[in-house]
Amino acid sequence: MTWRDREPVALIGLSALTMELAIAAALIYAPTERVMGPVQRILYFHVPAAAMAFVAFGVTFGASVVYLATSHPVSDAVACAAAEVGELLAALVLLTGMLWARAAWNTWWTWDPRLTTMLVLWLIYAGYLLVRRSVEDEARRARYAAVVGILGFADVPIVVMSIRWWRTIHPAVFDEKGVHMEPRMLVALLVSLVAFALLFVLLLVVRVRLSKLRDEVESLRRSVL
Amino acid sequence: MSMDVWRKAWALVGKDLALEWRTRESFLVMLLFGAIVGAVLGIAFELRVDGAGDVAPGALWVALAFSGVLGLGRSMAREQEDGCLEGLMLAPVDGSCVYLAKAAANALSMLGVGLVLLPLFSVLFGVNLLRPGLLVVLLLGAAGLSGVGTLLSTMVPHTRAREALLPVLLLPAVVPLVIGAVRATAGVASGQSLSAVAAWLRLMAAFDLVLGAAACLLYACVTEG
Repeated sequence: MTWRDREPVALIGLSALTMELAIAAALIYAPTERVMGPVQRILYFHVPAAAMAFVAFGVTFGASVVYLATSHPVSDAVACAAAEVGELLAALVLLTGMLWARAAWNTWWTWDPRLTTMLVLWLIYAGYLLVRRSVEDEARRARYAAVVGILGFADVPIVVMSIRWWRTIHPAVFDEKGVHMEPRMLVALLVSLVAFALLFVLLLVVRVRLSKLRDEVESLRRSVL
Repeated sequence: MSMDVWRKAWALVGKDLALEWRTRESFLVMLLFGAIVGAVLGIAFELRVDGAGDVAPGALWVALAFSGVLGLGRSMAREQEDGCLEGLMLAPVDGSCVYLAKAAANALSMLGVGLVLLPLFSVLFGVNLLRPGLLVVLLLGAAGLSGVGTLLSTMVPHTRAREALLPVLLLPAVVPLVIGAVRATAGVASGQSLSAVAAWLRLMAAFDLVLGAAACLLYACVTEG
């Protein structure tokens, strides 16, 4: 085992620390929103999770391209890990969005474009993970998964475009005119964004490491039998 | 692409069409299933909506997408019999040519189903769908469904979930296409000109081009080994 195969202790510590900071910033430091009240604080987790979900699906796409070009097993492990973490983050986005929507719009769900996009992306990558589960042969699984990972991501801009043309009732915090936010709220959001980015990297590293260890156990088992 | 490629692709399309013409096996199943989806949706919604005509464009595209899934599964199952696909791969044509031919044959049978469903849905939902503009919408929709579906249907026979995986992967991926198709169909059916729904047609065309090109490039990764 090399140093790279060890538990990423420093990253775990750093990620935990920033997440604590982000929680403190979101719940204590940031002022209460005048109209919506405390429920608005969901935003500090909702928005970073959404941003990192998109990053995760992008990583799956990149790693899938690398896999098809090189057939390197680590790129397949990275694609898988990023899709799993992205799916988790997308589920968080949907759940926090529903909690907020219940309070702000008085409904758990509406067919708002951004909600719909996240749901469609969640379904596309659920299919990706299903493909991974249902192919026995390793090389074929990696290849099929890469194909779905690339096709799914090619779909993302069209999904986003198609729903933009619907009327949106989703609040826009950022637009062409700049940021519509109180400075302390923005600080809390940025801290939380950093925390989620670190959490994403941590989960990715841990999951890739798990894949490698699993492969190692498998090859050890084969050499013994 | 040289003339030669088109000639070879056309020969492959001719093979699929001749096979279908002699057995009429999957076309009839697709057609009947499309009609059944229309009847089921009509029964399910008729009692709850004022104008059944408002549901017709959505019902038409749900029926086309579902019967398309059925047809794609059949078309691929036929290639699996007696090692037809291996034979195709050994033929002196490259993978993208096989992809284009399969996608064209699948699109043509979906288009055929659509042409029969238009008068049927006009009667079932009491709305005039017999407008020439709808041919364009049908063509773009069939091309997109078949473009993505042909790639995915080549993959699913090698998975444990088999045909069950196809709708799970295909339907979320074609959401933007269906949004565009439903909007364009609703516009044309209500008497608007094609230029009035040009934005939706462009969306469909963009979907067809981007995902069709991606599927064409990825097809080789799915058929090898």
